[in-house]
Amino acid sequence: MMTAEVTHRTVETNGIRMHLAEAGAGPLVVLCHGFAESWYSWRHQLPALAEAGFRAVAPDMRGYGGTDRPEAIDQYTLLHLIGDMVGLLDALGAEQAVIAGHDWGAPVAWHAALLRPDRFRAVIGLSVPYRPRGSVRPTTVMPQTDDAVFYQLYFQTPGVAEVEFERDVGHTIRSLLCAISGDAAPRESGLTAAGAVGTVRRRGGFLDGMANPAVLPPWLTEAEVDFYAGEFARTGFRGGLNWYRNIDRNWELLAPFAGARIMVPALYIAGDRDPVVAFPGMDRLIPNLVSFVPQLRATIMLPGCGHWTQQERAAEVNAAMIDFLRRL
Amino acid sequence: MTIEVMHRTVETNGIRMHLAEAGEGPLVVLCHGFPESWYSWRHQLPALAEAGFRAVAPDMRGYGQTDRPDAIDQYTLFHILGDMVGVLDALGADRAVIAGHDWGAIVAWHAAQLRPDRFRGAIGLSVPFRARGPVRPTTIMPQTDDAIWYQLYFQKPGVAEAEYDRNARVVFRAGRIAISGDALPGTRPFGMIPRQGRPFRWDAPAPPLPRWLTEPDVDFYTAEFTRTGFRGGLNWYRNIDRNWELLAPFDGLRVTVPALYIAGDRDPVIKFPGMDRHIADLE
Repeated sequence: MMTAEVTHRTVETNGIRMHLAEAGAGPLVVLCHGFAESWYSWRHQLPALAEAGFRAVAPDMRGYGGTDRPEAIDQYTLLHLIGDMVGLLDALGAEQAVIAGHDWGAPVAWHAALLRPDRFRAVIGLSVPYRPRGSVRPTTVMPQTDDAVFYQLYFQTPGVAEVEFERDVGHTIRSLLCAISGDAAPRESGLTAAGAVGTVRRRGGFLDGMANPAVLPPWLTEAEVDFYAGEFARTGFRGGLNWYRNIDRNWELLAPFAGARIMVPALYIAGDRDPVVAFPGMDRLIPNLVSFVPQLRATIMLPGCGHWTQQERAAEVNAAMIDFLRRL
Repeated sequence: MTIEVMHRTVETNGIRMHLAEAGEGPLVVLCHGFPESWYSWRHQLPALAEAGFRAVAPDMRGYGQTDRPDAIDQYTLFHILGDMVGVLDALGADRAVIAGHDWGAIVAWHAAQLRPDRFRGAIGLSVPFRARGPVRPTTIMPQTDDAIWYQLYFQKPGVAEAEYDRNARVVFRAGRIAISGDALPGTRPFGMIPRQGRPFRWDAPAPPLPRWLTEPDVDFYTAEFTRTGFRGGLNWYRNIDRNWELLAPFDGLRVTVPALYIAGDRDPVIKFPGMDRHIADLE
């Protein structure tokens, strides 16, 4: 089959300039990447969705890649990110879209569907399930011990993780992609180094103890690592880290939506070796997702797959997404 | 039979909120504006109760006996809408009709826009629903060499507080009358604040009270604001640009629940720049 060409352009949305990769023609599917990623994380989905008859569009999200990176931390709330996506539909002349997201892109996708079911007619979440708004400020209930803190707490202070990640961008990218993939030996993950899933030692860094193997896992090439490294060498990590610095603010701003459910058709896909599915509370949330997303069509747990769902298992994720899209 | 107005405090969205309530039946939440109080609904609470509704008028965030968080960013429309959703939860009500006057109308319209599943109808008094505009609101507010739009005057923390806090009784007497239908002809047009000199004519002779405003009414508001100050209410204005940013996801979203709009033809609000268009376009 002919490979669909991925084209690039920049649009204005919600007051920023946003770089898009797009392929195909047909019903619109917007693909939201996570931390610390790029439109490039959807490189296997763009041609597959295009060939299946969809118009697939993967932006560099706010703060990333070829998209603008506002300086102020409060410009990275979930409402700004969802505003970007609504503005993207407007810029593309699309009344509606299906929205998919992976990692941090998943909360964007889930909440876009929650807030604008009239614009986002269905939602696909990878790795991170929809989490209904809790009763307390999120950072107050994140795990911390004398020795270690949840990595999202480590990301809160501006500049700290930036310094660690930007010291050797190539090493950072390689460590991130390898250490929480399904191919990492269980003990290799820095996110379990302090004993609990997702924690970072107080006197250490996020990358400490993370595997940095000489040989990449089969789903990742040196050229791909180089692409990410090139992007983050240019942009730094601050834009993406700023998303984490709005977790409490997002919780405040979502108060009007307490108890609201996602009413559009939905699909959730994750790897059973993804550390995210082992985060505190996920064991109760994931089996009960349908309570909060009543039109959840399926939860697909990919055996042996780690955090980088759509990169590690491109063929299976493509097939599941296309099957879901065709049945809408 | 006169229906008694009861008072209590509930926890909502992380603050303590004082409510005045009357009657039983379907819930109607009444959101007051600036600078007001649950007391602005004193004529509606018993009337709605007698008509078979449960009428609840809170002191809104920043006002009266409700909490007044310090930080300006605690007064976004999303915080205030969160308060209203939390009031329904605290009252055990799945749904309510929401009414609002002045700033409270903006709350009511957006509550209905964002949570039609909780707010089954909306009544706006004075201020119509306005679709989100393409630019940051304060950048297009009127200003001349001599004067600025009152909402710009309200932006700098402490400035308007200093004027209002010293002159509460005038605010609730002459100030109220000046933008009522009983305002004397020739009163300075509302809205523009001179850049130099006194922003308001606090020393103008007190006009006689119109029939709808009594000395005890003036006393009530004056006592409330003498106790609380005006900062809480002013902080709502200081989130106008932030609200505009945060409402980006809702661009183009319409209010789809049944709605009613009521205003006076001598209300200065309906003569604000662009209001003629907003009101004509409501449907």
